[in-house]
Amino acid sequence: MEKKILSKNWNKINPNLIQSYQAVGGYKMLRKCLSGKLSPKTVLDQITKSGLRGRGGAGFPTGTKWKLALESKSGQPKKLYFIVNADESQPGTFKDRYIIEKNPHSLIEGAAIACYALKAAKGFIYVNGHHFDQFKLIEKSLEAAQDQGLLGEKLGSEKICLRIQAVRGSGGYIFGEETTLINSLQASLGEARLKPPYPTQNGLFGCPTIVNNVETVANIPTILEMGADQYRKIGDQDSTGTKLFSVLGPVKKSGLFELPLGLTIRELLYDVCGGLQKGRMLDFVQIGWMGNFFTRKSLDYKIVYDIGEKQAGVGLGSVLFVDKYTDLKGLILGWARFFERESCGQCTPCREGTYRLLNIAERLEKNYLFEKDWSNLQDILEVLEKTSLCPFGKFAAQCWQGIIKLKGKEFFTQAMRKGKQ
Amino acid sequence: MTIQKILLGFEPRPENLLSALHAINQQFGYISKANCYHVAEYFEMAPPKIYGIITGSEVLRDKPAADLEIQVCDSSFCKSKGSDQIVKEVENLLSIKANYPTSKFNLKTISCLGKCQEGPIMVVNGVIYEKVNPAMVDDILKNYL
Ligand SMILES: Cc1cc2nc3c(=O)[nH]c(=O)nc-3n(C[C@H](O)[C@H](O)[C@H](O)COP(=O)(O)O)c2cc1C
Ligand code: FES
Repeated sequence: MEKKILSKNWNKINPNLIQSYQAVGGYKMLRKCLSGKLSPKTVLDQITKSGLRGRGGAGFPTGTKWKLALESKSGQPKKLYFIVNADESQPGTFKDRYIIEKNPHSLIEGAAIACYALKAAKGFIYVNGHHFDQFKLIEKSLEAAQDQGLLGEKLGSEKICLRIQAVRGSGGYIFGEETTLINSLQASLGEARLKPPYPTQNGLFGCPTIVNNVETVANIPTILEMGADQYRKIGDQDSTGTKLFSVLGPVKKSGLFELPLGLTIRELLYDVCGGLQKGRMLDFVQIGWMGNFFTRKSLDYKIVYDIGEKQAGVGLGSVLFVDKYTDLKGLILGWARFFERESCGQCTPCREGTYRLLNIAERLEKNYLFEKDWSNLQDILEVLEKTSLCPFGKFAAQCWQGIIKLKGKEFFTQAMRKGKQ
Repeated sequence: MTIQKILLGFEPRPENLLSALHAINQQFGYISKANCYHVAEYFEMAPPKIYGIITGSEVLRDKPAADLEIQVCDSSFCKSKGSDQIVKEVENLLSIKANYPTSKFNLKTISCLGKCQEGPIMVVNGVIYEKVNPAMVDDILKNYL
C-alpha cells in the first residue's frame, strides 16, 4: 500500500551532506532549470498539470495559486516573494519534520525551482521557532547549495539569481497561518490579516506572495522528474499523488507513512497499520483536523481533499485512532488547552471563546459540568465559528462540534455535576 | 559579544528582525528593555512594537531564564499518555506550580512538538526527554539540581 516517491531516499542518504542527495540524483531538476533546459513556463505547466494540491491543509491547487500571484504581478513594477511554510505545529502532525530531518535538500531544491519558475525576488523558509535543530539543518543545507553554485547570483548560462533565506520563526501555532506568517516576516505583530486581499495579491511588503507548505514544495522536484502525466496516475481523480500521513493511536503500526491519496480508511487501518492492537476496539478515527471524525460505519470512505459523499477530508494527513479505552474527556481537554494557549488574542470571540471552552473542558474531565454549560457551549461554538477573524477560531470550535455530533448531548449531561447547582 | 556587534551582523531590514532577536536572545538568555531600545534604533522601529513581537513569541524572552527551565507537552496525545501526572510530579518534587515561574524554577506546559510518538515529552534546559513517566522525573531532575 505504501508508495514512496517523496520519501524514496529517506534513510538512504545522509541529510547533512549535499553530496549524498546528489548521489541519488538530487538537484538534477534544478540544474536543468539553470542550464535553460527547463523553462519557467514548463515548470508552471507541469505543476499545474500534475494536479498537485497544497499539503498545508486547505488543498488549494498549487499551479492555480502560482498563476494568481503571477497575474497580480504582471504589468506592475512589483516584486514577487515565495515563502515555504515550515511552521508545522498542529498536535499530532509531524510530516514536515520528517521531510526536513530526513531530506532537507529535497525541500531546498523544490523551493529553488519554485523561485526560478516564479521569478521570485526572494524566497524564505519560515521555520517554527521551537525547532532550532530544523532551522540549523536548513541553514547549513542552504549554505551547501550555495557553495555548489545552486543558489546565489548569476547562476548558470542564463545568469539567474536565486536567493533563499531561512528564518527562525516566532514559535506558536498561529504563525503557521499564512497572513500571520507574512506579518511576522515583515516585522509586524503576529496577528492574522483579513482576507481578501489574499497573499497572492497583497502579501509580504504589499507584494504578491506565495505561501506553500513544506510537503507541497518538496514534491516539486519529484513531479518534474517523473513528469506530470505519470504523477497524475497516482492517487485519485481530483486528489492526485501521494500524501504523508502521521498516524497515532492503538494500532499495530503507527508513525509516518507515504500513501496514495484516495485510499479508504479501511485500507489505512488494516493494510497500512495492521489493524488495532489486541483487545482494542475502534471508537472513531480523526483525520486531517480536529473534529473530522469517522466511525466504524465510514470505513469505506475515501481519503481525499474534497468532502463529499463517502469521502473523508485529508487535511494535513494526521490520523488519530481512538478506541473505547481512550480517555476521551482527557483528549478534549488536551485540545482545549492547545487552542486556549495558541490563540493570538487579537479578536474577542477567539480570545474569550477558547478560554471559556477550556473552563468547560476542565469541568467535563472532572464530571463536574454545570447545567448551563451545555447551552453556553452552543453559544460559544456558534460565535467562534461565525465571527472569529481567521480560521483558527473555527478550528477550535470544530473539535467540539465533532464530539457533539458523534456522542450527542448525552455525553455532556452524563458528566453534569450531581445535586443542587 | 556586545549588542552592537550582534546587530551589525544583520542588515537592518524588516525580514532580518526576527533573526536578530533570536541571536540576542541566545547570547544573553533574554532581551532586556535596554537591548529592546538598541534593536528599535537599529531597525528604525518603535520600541513597543519590538516588545510586542518579543512577548508574542513563545521562544523569545523579555525576562532572564530561570535556573531550571522545564517544559512538559500537555497537548492531546501526550495528555492521553499521562503528561498531567508528570506535571504533578515536577510540582511536588520542586514545590512549585506550573506556569507560575520563580527565579529558580519555571515549569511550563507547552503545545505539541511533533514528537507525539515518543511522548510524553519533557524538556529540561533545552534537552528533550522522551517517553517520560512519573517515576523517571526524579532521576531526570537530579542531573540538574
Ligand atoms: C491557524 C492556522 C495554522 C496553520 N498552520 C500551518 C502550518 O503550520 N503549516 C502550513 O503549511 N500551513 C498552515 N496553515 C495553512 C496556511 O495558512 C496556508 O494555507 C498554507 O501554508 C498554504 O500552503 P499550501 O497551499 O502548500 O497548502 C495554517 C492555517 C491556519 C488557519
Ligand atoms: S502531543 Fe506532545 S509532542 Fe505531540
